Amino acid sequence: MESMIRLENVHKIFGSLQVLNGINIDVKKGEVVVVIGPSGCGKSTQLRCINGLEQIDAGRIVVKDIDITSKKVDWQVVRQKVGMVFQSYNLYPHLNVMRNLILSPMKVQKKNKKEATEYAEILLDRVGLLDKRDVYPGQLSGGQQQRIAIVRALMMQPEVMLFDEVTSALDPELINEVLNVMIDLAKSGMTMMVVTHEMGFAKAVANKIIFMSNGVVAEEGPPEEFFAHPKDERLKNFLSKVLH
Amino acid sequence: MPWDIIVKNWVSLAEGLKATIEIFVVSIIAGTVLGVLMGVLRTSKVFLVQITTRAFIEVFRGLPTLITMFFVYFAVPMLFQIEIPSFLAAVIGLTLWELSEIAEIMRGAIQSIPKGQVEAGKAMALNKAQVLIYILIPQAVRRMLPPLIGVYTRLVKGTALASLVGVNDLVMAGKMVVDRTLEPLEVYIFIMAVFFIINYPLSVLSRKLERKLI
Repeated sequence: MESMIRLENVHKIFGSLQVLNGINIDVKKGEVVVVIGPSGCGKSTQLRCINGLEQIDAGRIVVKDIDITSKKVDWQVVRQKVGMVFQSYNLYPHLNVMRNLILSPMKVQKKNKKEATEYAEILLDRVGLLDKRDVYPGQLSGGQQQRIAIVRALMMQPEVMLFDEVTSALDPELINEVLNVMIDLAKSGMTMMVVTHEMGFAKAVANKIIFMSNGVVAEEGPPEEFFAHPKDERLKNFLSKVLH
Repeated sequence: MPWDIIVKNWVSLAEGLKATIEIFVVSIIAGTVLGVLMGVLRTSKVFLVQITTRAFIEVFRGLPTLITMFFVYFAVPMLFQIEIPSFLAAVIGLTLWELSEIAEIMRGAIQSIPKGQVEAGKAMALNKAQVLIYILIPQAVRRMLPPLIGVYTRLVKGTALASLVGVNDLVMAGKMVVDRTLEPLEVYIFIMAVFFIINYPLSVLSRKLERKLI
């Protein structure tokens, strides 16, 4: 199967802190890869390296067939292929929902307003928020904002979606509405890389789970195997804390 | 009190008022446009740009506007063998101060916007200029409105300095009426009233915006 994201021996250092210490990950087209691990293990950093929000210090990252660690990489091209959703939504507060959605399609992909708006309406309808098209992000709940943020990323018609702890800032009762959107997206065949603490989500939709610890991939495998027979001591320890 | 002094000298006072308003309007436009630009440059990651704009801002924010104005009016012509008219000298002096103040406010406003906004823009494939134009500047301008109006009210007051480089503004016109009639009370009350009428709405607006934006 075609490889969508490939990390080869990736290293990342913040000052004297070795955050990523030789990561190898391969995400194939249509796969949902869930990354778990204790906080500070480098899982978010690793995600942020894939769309260039952080630069790596050694190793290689290939997105589809573009080597994004080469010097002449065109980030505008890469980032259209790679959508990202953040923990704190990061919607533009000065623009209403519709303008949040159509900004990049119009400015980057040069779509006309009508075309972009129509596509936005289809996606908004899919996440059940079409009636919110004209309100500002500040008037929405966290769950609604995060669903809009997912739609905003999808507006670029990306080939891969990165999710960086997207439910961590949400009140418990709002988590499912966001997870359901992600589950639908996974079922539609989207290639996804998801950093999360939601083990239920991991069990339900992941093709592969990666456990990171101290900047390395400590264990990886399909969810059944992964949860039933963890081998790595750190993983056993971690699972005993997060699974009640 | 003989208020007819104002009425009798209305033509010269009105001419002075017109000059004061012209100085204010030209300076406010020039200072705002240049100040916003300078503020954006001030946040540049290019060290040379950062240090040059910072030096410029520190110098003109720290100088008394009157000294800048005098320098432009008396010293610059000697340096370059050119003549600088009073009106222009007053506008340049005020604008240099005002744009430095605005640049500093703009810098603060840009830097106060959460990092996630820039990251979201980048992740959405916008380039640096687009992030600045569509995400940072619109949000920064909203945040800077209350302090910006503060600068404007100080600018209104600063226009009074123009008379000292020979502009026939409201202050100068009033002074000439006083010299002729020896009636300072009515004339200066009139001038005070004019400044109050210009500035009071600005300060009300600033308070309103502050309440709305926070």
